[in-house]
Amino acid sequence: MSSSEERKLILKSSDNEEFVVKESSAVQCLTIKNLVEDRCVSDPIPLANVDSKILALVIEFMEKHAETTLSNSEKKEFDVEFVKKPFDDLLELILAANYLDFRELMDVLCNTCAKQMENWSVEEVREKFNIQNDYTVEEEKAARAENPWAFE
Amino acid sequence: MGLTTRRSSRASIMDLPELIILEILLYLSIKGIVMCKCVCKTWQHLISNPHFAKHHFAHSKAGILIRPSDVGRISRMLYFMEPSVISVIEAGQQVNLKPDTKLKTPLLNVDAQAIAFIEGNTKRKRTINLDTKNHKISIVNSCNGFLCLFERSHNNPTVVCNSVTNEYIELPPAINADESTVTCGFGFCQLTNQYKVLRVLSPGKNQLAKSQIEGTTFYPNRVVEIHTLGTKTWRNIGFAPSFQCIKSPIYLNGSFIGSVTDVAGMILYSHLSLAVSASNLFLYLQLIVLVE
Repeated sequence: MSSSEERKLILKSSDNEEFVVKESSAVQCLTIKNLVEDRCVSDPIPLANVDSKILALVIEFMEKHAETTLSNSEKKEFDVEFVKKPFDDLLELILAANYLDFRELMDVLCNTCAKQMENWSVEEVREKFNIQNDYTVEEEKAARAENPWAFE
Repeated sequence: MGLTTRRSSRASIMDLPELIILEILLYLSIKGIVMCKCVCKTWQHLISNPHFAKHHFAHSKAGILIRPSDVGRISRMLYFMEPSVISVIEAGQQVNLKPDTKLKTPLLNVDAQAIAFIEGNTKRKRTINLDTKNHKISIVNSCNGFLCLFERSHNNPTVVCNSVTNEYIELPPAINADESTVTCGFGFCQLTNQYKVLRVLSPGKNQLAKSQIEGTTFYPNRVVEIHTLGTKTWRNIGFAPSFQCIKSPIYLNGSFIGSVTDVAGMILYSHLSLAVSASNLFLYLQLIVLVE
């Protein structure tokens, strides 16, 4: 196998750790793909907004989804396990996926967040997502009264 | 910057850019969205934005709205089956499902409203006024998530409503009490970005022209009227096809589709498209003959 078949890129996290990835996997991130196509690739590629812990996770996801030997259901099984992470990590992953323009990862993460939310009450959403309630008691009552069936 | 600087304190979803929060909300079901409106004012604001509704609608798959029918009473209840539940059912399988999303058509009889008013409850719920005695409401069809309701006592399309937000627009009443609606349909014209309601009117009994050809009855003086939502009147656009009109047309992508029976008793599928050019409305009726 000649070296040109498996082109590699070096990605550098915000805390200066370097990761070697296959170019074919990395271009799932449109931000990286654009750099490659515009021939602006420096060696290594600095990713100022992503730290090493999160970058490692992104790369894990990226490589799994780039594998052509895996079926869609196997990838889905991987996704299900992948998202079983503490909330803070999920938020950081969302930010990273957004920064890298990694559509597939973004979809999986947003879908996961939404699915979790479906089963929660309003109070649980606030608590788990750490959202400040800025409604007064009356305002909240009025808001709930618009669609009482949702709160039964 | 990432959240790396805030490792010490707990991260909040509100730290995410608004666009990302919106993306997450797009994946929610209707029940989830309605619930999220009550989480905080920022989310209520995000969800109430018409762009959000547009994107969520474009993003979501079709669900099924079930209306229980009871001969004795009007049913306000509409049960909405979310698409994720529907995709699980296989053909021929018998399932017990509990639809989570219960919507209501915004109608209440006038007497109930009057009582509420007398009791000092001046905050009246937004509802359609209906005659208490003859209030049978049926649904014409749905278009882009809106429903058009038809009031049988006056034999007319009455209202276009959004059953999730309970907002509605009243349609202008029929001018002539003699006239009755034979068929109506509710659709959206993409060219002008307007919602339109179509109805085929039959003049009163004394004026209704009828002719018989080979045992089939024709009605040559039925007229078609159209109403653009937001305007004040119905507009006569010409005579209706003289054979039996389209029963219960369904709106799909700019056209009404329904079945029509022709002279020989054959069932044809007709395709009525709404196209607007300047101030004129052209009504095309294309008949697609089924090959037996």
